Amino acid sequence: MNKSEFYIGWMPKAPGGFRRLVRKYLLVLLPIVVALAVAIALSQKKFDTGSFEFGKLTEVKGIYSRTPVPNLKIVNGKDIWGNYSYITVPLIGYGKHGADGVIAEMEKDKNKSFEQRQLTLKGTLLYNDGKLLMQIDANDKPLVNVGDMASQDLLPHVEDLGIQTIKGEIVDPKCYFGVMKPGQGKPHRDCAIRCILGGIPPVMQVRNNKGEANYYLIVGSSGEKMNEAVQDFVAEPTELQARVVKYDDWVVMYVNKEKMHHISFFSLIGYDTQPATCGKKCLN
Amino acid sequence: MIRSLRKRHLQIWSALAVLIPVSIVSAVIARPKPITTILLQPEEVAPLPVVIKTVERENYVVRLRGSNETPTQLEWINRNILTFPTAVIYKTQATFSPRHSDLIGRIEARGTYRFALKPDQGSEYHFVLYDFIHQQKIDSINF
Amino acid sequence: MGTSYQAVGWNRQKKIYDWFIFGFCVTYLGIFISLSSIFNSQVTFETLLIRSTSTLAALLLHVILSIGPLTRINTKFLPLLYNRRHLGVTMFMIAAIHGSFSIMQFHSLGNVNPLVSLFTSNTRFDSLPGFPFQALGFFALVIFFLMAITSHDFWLHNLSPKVWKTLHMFVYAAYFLVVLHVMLGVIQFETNPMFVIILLIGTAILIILHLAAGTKEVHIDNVKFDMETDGFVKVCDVNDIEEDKAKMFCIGKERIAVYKTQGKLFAVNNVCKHQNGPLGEGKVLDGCITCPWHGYQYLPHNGQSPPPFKEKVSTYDVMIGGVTVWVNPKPYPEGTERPGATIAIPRPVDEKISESLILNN
Repeated sequence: MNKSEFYIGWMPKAPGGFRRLVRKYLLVLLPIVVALAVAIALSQKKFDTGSFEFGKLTEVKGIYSRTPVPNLKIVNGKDIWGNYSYITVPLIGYGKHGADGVIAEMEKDKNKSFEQRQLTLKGTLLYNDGKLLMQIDANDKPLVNVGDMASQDLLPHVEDLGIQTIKGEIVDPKCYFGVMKPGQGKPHRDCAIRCILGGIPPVMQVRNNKGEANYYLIVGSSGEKMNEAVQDFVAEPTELQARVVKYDDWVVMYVNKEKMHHISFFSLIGYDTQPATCGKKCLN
Repeated sequence: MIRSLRKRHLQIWSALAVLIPVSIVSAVIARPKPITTILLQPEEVAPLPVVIKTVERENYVVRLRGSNETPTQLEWINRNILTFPTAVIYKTQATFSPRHSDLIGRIEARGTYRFALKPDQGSEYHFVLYDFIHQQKIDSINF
Repeated sequence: MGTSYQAVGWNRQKKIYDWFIFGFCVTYLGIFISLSSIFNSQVTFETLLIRSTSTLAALLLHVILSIGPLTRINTKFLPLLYNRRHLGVTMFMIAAIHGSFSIMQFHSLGNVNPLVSLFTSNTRFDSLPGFPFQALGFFALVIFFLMAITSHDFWLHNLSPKVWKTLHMFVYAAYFLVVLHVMLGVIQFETNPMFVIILLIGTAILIILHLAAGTKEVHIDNVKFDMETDGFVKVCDVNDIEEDKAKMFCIGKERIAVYKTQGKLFAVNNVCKHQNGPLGEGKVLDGCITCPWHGYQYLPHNGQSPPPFKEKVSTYDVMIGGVTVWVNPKPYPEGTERPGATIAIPRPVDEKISESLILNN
């Protein structure tokens, strides 16, 4: 090391000893940068296969109902046993909004309720893992036709599965089944909350030990909206007690608001520990 | 750098030397563990005892089952996530058209689906997986 | 040494520095985006943008924070320190892309203003895994923003060095916020241990570098000087100091740099008026004490910058007794001329012998 070397930044060229060390530093840094880029890129979880048909409007015809959530039941004929084959498509609005506003406007415009009527709607489809939803945007003039009332044999088939405790993660279906990668978990939590508070119906995703998933709609015990009630529970392991109902091809949970719990391992203030419960009482 | 700043730096980094590792470890420990449960869908339908024929694809395993050699049950094990709006199964003849084919049922999320078939003494069975929203054929399974 | 606002004065070193920053950033982004797209085919443009910029910004932050202590440990890293602010501004811009795009992606098109949504959507302040991590990132970004917009010397002078330095010390708070933002955010979902291992290694390197450099420096500050006469403190031998260079001693509140030049010893306050650089690690060039950080200069006999520049540092009295150097740690007002201490020229040996022969005879 040449001790007489002296460096100031405005010199056109740094003295030899300085140059050599900086060069070594850069030669060490470059493979580190490359290795980090490779390691981080390849360590990411595989993103889900949700699809949102950006820029593509699809016209579908089905029976509209506002319960349990605004939806269109699209019928595809009957199977070999004479049972209707259909898919129930929940409707959602543009951006982080539910479809209620758009539908209310359309009903007002036509001066009739759409409940159990045949509707032809134009919207953007989003789907993943067997579930299909449709975004209807007022700017797309989504209402193509309002038809007659649907026949009685197309009313929803409802089967009560009793009171159950279900554990899973509350997601917003628009992001989960469509646009966001990831559409669940902590990184997505804020967006999911914004979507749900904007009126998109909350859905609980549950998984078995093979990684297969089911998706259950969440409403209140009387069928009312639970959007505000679930805000603190979105995107984290949650346990709900609900009356579980098979509603055509969806499962709907009529949730008891008092029986919603976090299943986090660690909380700054534990919800279920006795000291926390006592502490809460003292504070109140 | 002035003396007080040097001292401040050392204090700050002495604190960070404790806070940062504690925060990292706490955050890892606090990370929620995956929870699993029993699924309600698809409904459990008992498999018929005899496997007559099997076709394996990357995304599904399809079997014809029966109580004897006549297939009366179609078992469809959906292994991978569907990336179509809908997926219904038709039993068809050589040329497929939804109108002239028999609708068997719809598959949704991953899982095992079993559909009852009408007894058919034929030797060949053709099934088509079809998306009726975009009216597109997804796949065909021939036994 | 201007205080008026001028745009960046490009020189060859700055251009090379900036090309390296650009090259490294492009390399990182290129590899990350390509591999993510190939091996994770369902990734969307939005997720690629958010993740590539965030990870690059975090990497840059670690490089930036390592430069300070590295230069303390080995001054040959100075070329990296000189234009460190370019790295800082680059890091901020990349982090700002990440932050603003994330706010757009996760909070816009909703029923409230995106910035309101940022602070009101997730209210789980009582949960560690549920903690509103985005707000932590936001505050870190605010700190980086304030640092970036004040990174020009214009602000250093107009805010005063003390205020400017206090603001820029918040980088450590920002670093901690970034660690929490990552650990309570994406790491709650991305469970591959690789991420935690990488972050632990990064923080460990920074902690070790800072503690090593800090301990070394504080050790120098804590050296005790025992010998005192009439206010003068014994510091070293004359021969300990190289020509046109200095040694530093922390006697009172601050270090004093004792320079040897033109056959004399001069003592000035060690702290450069520009950005508190260590004058004692500099060199005498063209008769001026030159700060190694940015080349600010001071005349050794009075601590004043040569005209037309106006910076001044305090001066001190120096004495030489035999070969021992003594310094009076009581500072004179900045810019006060002091005579320094003349270094006695040792007489040639044959002259001494002749003198001794004459005396004996």
